[in-house]
Amino acid sequence: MDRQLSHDEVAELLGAYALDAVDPEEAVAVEVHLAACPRCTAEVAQHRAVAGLIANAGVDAPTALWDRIAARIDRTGEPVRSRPSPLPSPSRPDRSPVVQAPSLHRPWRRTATWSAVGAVAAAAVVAVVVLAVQVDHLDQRVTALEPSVAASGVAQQAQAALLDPAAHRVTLTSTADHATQAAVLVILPSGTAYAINTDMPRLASDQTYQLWGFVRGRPVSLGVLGSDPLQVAFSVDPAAVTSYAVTDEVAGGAPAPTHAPLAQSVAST
Amino acid sequence: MPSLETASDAALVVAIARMHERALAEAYRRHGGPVFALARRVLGSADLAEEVTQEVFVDLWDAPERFDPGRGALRTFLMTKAHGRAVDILRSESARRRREERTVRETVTSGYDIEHLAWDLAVAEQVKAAVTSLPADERTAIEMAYFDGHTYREVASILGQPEGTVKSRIRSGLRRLRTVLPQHGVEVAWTDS
Repeated sequence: MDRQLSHDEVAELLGAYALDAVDPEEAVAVEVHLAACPRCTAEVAQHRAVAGLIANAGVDAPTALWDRIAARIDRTGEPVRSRPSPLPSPSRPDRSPVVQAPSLHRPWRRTATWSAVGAVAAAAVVAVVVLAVQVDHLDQRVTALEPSVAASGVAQQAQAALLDPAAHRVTLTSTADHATQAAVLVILPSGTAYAINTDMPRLASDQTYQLWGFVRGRPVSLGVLGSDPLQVAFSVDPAAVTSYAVTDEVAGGAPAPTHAPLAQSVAST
Repeated sequence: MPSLETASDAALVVAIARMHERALAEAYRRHGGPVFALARRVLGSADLAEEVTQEVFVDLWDAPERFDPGRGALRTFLMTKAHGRAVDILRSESARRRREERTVRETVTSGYDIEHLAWDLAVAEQVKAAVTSLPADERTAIEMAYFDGHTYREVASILGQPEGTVKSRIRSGLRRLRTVLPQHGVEVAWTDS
């Protein structure tokens, strides 16, 4: 559709558009208009909510289908760890924590080398500029979303960052098993960032995880994460850092990595 | 400590963003049934509906940030995704024939009624009553567009009515439902909060 539709022309299409019942060219024209028109955007949201209501058919979600979904997202090939319970039971005694401990049965092997991330030799001492380090709640185990998470400023900020459309996400995978996601970094345009542990097992208490960013090929400490981190805030210049890695170090951290990375960034979205 | 079962949908999505599989399982338990039912209704095929449902939930896992709790309920978000995907499949060339066969079969067996649709049992009757209260031409236009995946132009052609009329009826019917549903005791939730 070459010309832009007027507000009234678009408005007439909103019902059909909300039901996916317009031609592709019309859909584009409507979307162009919606980007600039909160009123029409709200109307589409309302139409869709109504449509969702009348579409409801009282069937349960097929359990076998969940197994397929779980297999798709469970890239480690582990057995399905959870499945939907058949009935809602708000008061059931088994109050499993929402946030589960990282699985401990998949110990990382130290097979990777720093060359894998194109960095300097592991033993090399490099000048390190600590961009900024803010370590919070090193050993705090948050066992539920609320209220303990709500009480934790970092957790709350990390959650908000995760939902921020401007945030940049970087996935770190285990160097021993590239299919295993170890942590996610959420980086806001301001440089405020959060490292979120998704599968890094607890270390001995005299050890710590340490996060590194590569600036011109050299590892720079971005933060000491603690022996059993959940989420840790740090600051980073996203324009300067090209990739990320995590090592285990002696508690307190090291000026330069002394071990091969346990996890490193693979891709960013 | 609230359990997963009592967490809000928005809190579930936060947990999903943190890669907690149980949160996705809970979202699936809450919404998987309606998502699957809608896809099956549109596609007329349980196999294709399973594909769509799987895609919708895997997408939620991969890109939870696309759900904005400020812009609507999670149920609506998932249903919209499922419907869009189902319609894409339907409009692909290979599926066109299947739809034609199905349309014939459905016309024979059940027409365009939503008599067999029931939701959470508590509100199914009210939703049905609200839909039944629509003027017949509005109801038909909505059902043909939404459940059968026809564009409004196709609906107009099938019914032998002007396109503009069908377009208007879909919109006015949805607006009427929005007004009528609360009168039937059904709240139309825009957001989770």
